[in-house]
Amino acid sequence: MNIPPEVLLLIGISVCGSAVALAAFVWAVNTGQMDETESGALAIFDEGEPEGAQGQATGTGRQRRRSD
Amino acid sequence: MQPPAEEQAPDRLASRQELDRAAALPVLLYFGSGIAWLLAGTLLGVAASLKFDLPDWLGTIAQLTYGRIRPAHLNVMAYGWASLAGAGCLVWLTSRLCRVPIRRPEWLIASVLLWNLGVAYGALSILLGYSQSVEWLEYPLPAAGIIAAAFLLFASSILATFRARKVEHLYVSLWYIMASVVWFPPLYVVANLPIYTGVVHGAVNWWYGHNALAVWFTPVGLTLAYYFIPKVIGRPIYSYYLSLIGFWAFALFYNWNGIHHLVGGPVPTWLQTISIIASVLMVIPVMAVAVNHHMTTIGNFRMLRTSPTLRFTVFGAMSYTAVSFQGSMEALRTMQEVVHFTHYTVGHAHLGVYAFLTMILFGAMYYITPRVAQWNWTRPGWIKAHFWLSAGGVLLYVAAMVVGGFLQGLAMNDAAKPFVEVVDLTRPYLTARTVSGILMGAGHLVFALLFVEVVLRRGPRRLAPPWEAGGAG
Amino acid sequence: MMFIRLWLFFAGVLATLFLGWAALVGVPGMQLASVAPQQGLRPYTYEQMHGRQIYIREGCAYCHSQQTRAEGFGSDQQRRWGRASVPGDYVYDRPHLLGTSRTGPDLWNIGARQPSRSWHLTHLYNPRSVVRESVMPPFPWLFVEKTEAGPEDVMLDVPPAFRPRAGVSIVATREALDLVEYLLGLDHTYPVAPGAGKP
Repeated sequence: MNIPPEVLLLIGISVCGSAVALAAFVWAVNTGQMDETESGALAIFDEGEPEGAQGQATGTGRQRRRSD
Repeated sequence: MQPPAEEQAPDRLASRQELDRAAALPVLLYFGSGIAWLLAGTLLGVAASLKFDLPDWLGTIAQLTYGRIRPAHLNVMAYGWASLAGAGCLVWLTSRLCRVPIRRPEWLIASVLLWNLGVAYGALSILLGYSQSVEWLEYPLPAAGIIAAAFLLFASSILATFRARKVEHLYVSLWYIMASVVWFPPLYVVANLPIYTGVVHGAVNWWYGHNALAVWFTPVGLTLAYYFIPKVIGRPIYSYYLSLIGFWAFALFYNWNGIHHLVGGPVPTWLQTISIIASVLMVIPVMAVAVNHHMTTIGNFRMLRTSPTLRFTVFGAMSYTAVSFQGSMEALRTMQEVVHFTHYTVGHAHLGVYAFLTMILFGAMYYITPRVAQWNWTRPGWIKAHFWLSAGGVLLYVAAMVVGGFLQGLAMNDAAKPFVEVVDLTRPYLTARTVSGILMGAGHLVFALLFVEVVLRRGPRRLAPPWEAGGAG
Repeated sequence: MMFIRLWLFFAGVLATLFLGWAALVGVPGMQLASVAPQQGLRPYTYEQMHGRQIYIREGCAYCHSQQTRAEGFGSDQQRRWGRASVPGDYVYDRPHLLGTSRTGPDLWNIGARQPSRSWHLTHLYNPRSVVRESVMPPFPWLFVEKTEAGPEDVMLDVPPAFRPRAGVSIVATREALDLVEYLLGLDHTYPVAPGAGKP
């Protein structure tokens, strides 16, 4: 199969890029970056707007007690 | 698991109000401008659609011929409505997620003014006959330059705010925001360079066209969905880890999709193939997002009845899944042979930019506006009307174009059918499209009136604003 | 944790953009840089370039494509729209006008399919005067009405129902003539050179 040199270049860049990405992923797992991810998900909550409270500007149904 | 200990609740609340106050003027300017372009763009779109039903309507006015108002509609909606409303949402969200008042608000004000100037200049240029006739890049270079400058000012403010952040944990929405502000300027500039000819220009055109979705429009929609769905429901996103995978898979694969717009065309076959493969691989990040959003929402669907933000956002998030799967299928050669060059593609496009992005933008604006304007929405009935007009309108639009386009493609591939017969069979679907545009337009008008009422602090003061004591913020 | 090394994040993000550009633009560009214009392809004349600008101005590309697909992929060949187009056909096209919509037929070989100047002029004046079911817009501003046509004027033969009023001649302007010149020049039926197909 005749592969043009430019395509070989592209394949080369892609393989290198994938290798770098894989290495980064392995590094991330090994240095524990992936262990504690849940606190990131909680970043949008705090004491004023805690998890479980429903925040919304207005309701179109019955008025709720804590949110509306 | 408790979030890290921060200040006491009253301080936290004041801090949020401070953030919103600081962001108020730029955000409301972005929103107001976006809504104005939404109305203008809707007029252009309905007029364009009507011209299929009545081809001689306004037929002596050169500036209103279909070939000019159609690109004017696209650019006004993309760079006017979606980009300005999106930018406003991102300004507010960055400030909230970094827990710091926006930096360089004066740059944002300048950005809004320039952006409006660029969009207006570009749209008028198209109508007056100075379009470049490159899809998504019709604006003459001066207008494109103005928009690029406006975007850079916006991006600089976002980056400055990010740099001043007071948080340690960076929420997933911030990844998409930071990525999009560094992705879009080089994309826009490289695509606009006047150095391309022939089929390479075609490749650049569609590298840009699909990448504009990949690096700006889709991230705007996803960043808002990732925030508002868990925020309004009050539950954290189902799997943060999945969002990570989703983000990098998204970044990697989406950038390679572009040439699926040229399947069967005079570009190298291997090039078409890698774009088709990348389009199918998009299933991976799309599934990650879909699982995340669905598993977060499940059990809380009754909230859709009382929360407009959630209603619009969940509609949008579901549309994202739908349009992405549709796109992955549409890229395959078997589908392309039928639907390429038909109205099907236009239906797919509107499932994306309207049912996904625009509906999420509406949801976000329903949340943000009262908080920055310090005045609550006044007429819940109107909000309901807006939702049903927009949702109903876009569903009719997409159904008409997808069905009509598919039939159009089948007929076109049947050489025994004369071309005029192919045109004839699309007529009822095109009329349905015009009707859908009028429905959506009515919804936009309602939204615009609601927005004006809040900004002017008019209308019945119906509900206690959520930031008062006892409210959930 | 995503931003452990901030510069890494931004580098990674920009790398994905660059990689996509390399794949979709850079490498194909390198491959196609050596594509010579097809032997039968003539550069556009001055009038045709002017006409092409009018085609661009009026947005014709939003309803008409300029790319013909190969046998077995769509009905382009059965409809006699011309042999499959190749990159070497497009070297003089700037900007490209490949088009993504066929609300109207493909025009890549319209000059071969419909070589009548007067048909094109009348069709542009009002498409429904020659094709009853057409949804194409009319382009009356490319023409002028004259009570007395001069010897140089190209008059249109428009059916009475489509005339604005009786007793005037409809005359083509320079713009209309050049646009038609461009359309008539869209003829790529010359044979493609061997080995010039898509890589």
